[in-house]
Amino acid sequence: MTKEMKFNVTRWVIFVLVAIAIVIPVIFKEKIKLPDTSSSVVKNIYDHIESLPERSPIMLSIDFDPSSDEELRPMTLAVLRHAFRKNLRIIGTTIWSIQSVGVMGDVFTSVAKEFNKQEGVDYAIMPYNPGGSVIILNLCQDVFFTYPKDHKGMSTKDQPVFKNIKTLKDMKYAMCISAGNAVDTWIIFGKEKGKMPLGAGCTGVMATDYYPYLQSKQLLGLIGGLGAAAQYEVLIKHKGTATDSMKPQTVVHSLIIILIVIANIIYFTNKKKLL
Amino acid sequence: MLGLGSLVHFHYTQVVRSKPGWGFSIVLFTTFLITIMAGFGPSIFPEFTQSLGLSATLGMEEGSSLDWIFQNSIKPLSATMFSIIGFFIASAAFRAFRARSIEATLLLIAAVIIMLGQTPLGQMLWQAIPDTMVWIFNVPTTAAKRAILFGIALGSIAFSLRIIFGIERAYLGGTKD
Repeated sequence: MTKEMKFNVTRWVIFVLVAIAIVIPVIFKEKIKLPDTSSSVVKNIYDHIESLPERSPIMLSIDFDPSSDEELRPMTLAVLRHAFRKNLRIIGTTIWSIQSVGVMGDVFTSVAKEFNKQEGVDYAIMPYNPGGSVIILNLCQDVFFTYPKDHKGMSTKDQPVFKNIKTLKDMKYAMCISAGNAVDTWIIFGKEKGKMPLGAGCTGVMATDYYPYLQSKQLLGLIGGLGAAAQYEVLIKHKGTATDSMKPQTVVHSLIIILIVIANIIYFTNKKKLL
Repeated sequence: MLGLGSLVHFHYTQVVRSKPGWGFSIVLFTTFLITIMAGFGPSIFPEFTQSLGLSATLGMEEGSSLDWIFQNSIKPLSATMFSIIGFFIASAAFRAFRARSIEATLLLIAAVIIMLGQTPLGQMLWQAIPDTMVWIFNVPTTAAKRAILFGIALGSIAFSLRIIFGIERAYLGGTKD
């Protein structure tokens, strides 16, 4: 067997093992029991939303597209469920891409149906405007100048959900759920100009980037990846896709650790490159 | 519009000159036209659109043709692309994560603790695993991240001052002072 063939066979064996490690826990998810976990950075967001009075306005910036949907949707659903349960007014926006509006529409509509909430009264979805930081700066000056119409072309000024809101400073909480650098933009421009409490949600690999902002209190809390989303589901007592996804993720992480251990045993045994 | 023009020009050239992978350019033009039709179609052919079981509204409203494309094509395709990364990470970890030096060993240990700590398995095995993961995030990772942020900020200030005082001229295209 040539070196290249050996490389390809090893690779395909790993791919098959990963596929099995994902599929089996999905099939037998009812039989796998994992403990509930919690962390203070996730709980801070829960506690803040919990402390808000009814009908308080909050802004949720959905800054991801379908490629990160599977990882970020569960935390978005959990935060939305919590906010709707608390009867808060939610303004959905995005500084990321036009596709984020599609994701936002889908997520907001599905949770709003669960809680019998009405668009324009309990929540609103803003269209995508290019500009990123400029959009946030404009929101700090005038929400209606930035978004004269919602994603359906309806005037925002006439909607009850915008009652007593003029600028971003009127929001009692803002949260950016992002798969890119939108959280940084919200910290620099939104938090510093708007002065409202800011929380963030991001993919697991990005979570470490935001710990300095947690220590400096520029971020109130952080939901980093599926694990943290599962923790939020535990806090709101509504276990959903994040909790279910922990099962295949646990098995795949274990598999990767086993593979690393095997590779190191082979490396130290042979004292030469495996592949 | 500039991006659109550039995209069309690039793929048109690919097809006309039969460059390698020109078939993908045909796929691009086909999907491009289908999406345009889905966008404008409902206003031009409202009855035909409704006969397909779709709403004849414009935009991304639920049930519209664009929403159908988004839900049934863009979403699953994007998710598939992202999911493939997991398989490559497993393969790369097997081939690259070796305890060759002290630094590599430290990295390996940190990676294992974080992988376990990110799942409930870490807590099941030993409560110290998630606690150590939080310590890694809060202390060494944050320190390194801060150092990088300070480095970038100081570097940007220094570079800006060099430009302001005319010391740095490379950005003008020149190679000599």
